[in-house]
Amino acid sequence: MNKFREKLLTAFTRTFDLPSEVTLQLPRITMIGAIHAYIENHQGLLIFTDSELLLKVHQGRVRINGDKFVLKMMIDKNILLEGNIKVVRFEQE
Amino acid sequence: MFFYKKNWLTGYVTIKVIGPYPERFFDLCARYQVPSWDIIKKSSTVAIGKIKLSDLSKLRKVKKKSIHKIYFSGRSGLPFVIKKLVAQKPLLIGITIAFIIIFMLSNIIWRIDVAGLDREIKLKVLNQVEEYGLEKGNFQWNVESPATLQKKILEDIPELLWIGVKKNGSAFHLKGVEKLRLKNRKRVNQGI
Repeated sequence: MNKFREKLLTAFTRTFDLPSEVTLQLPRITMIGAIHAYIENHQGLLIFTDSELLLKVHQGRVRINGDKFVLKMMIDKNILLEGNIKVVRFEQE
Repeated sequence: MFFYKKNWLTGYVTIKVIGPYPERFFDLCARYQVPSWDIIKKSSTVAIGKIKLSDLSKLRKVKKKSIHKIYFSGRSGLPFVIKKLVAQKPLLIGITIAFIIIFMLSNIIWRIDVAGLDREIKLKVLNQVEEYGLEKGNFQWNVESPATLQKKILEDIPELLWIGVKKNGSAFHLKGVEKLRLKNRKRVNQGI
């Protein structure tokens, strides 16, 4: 049932040309070089240290590694991360 | 950047969260519509972050939902700066005294110029004008407006044909024209 819904939504998004992060609840990650990462639409912060950030997103997790991490802003579902970003990895559940 | 400036104006506090996974407290804050920023993790159980002064009441609610301990480690922003300034009595007194002095000094008459008249009549005009309160060192609010002064001087000194009184900042400029024929003692049309 869930899979079916997923497929339907993807098709819906494709046919009407809608922004996928809105309809599919996917995160939107904007990066400025390797110093800033702006993550919108995440679903919770799991781990934050000065070298790692683990976020829960729709159907999985996003792990960001690097060093000198500072969370510059945390508003609702958006996070602005600052530091030396080295790896951004998506992990399926 | 506007976010930070705005928060400085309304004031913010630095909080220190102690407990296992302290970053989750800030996540909880975000869920309860309490924005936070500049979050740094000091060690595995200590994290430091900043929140708005106006969100403190909401923070209390969030605190009940979590197991973390929260300490306030710093306060900054305009409200606290004002508080500090107000607490410094000598500074406040100094500022008010300075304002009063500037106000008083700028309301004193510093100079009276008379132009276009003989020495004799000039002295007469100055003496006459002194009676109206227009003299060096007097306050400007003790003196009437230039238009009424002009009328009064013309009435009291018949030798004058015309006199212009102009106020220029803290100085008064008088410019007069004599009746030349008055020296012949022919007092014709004295009333004018």
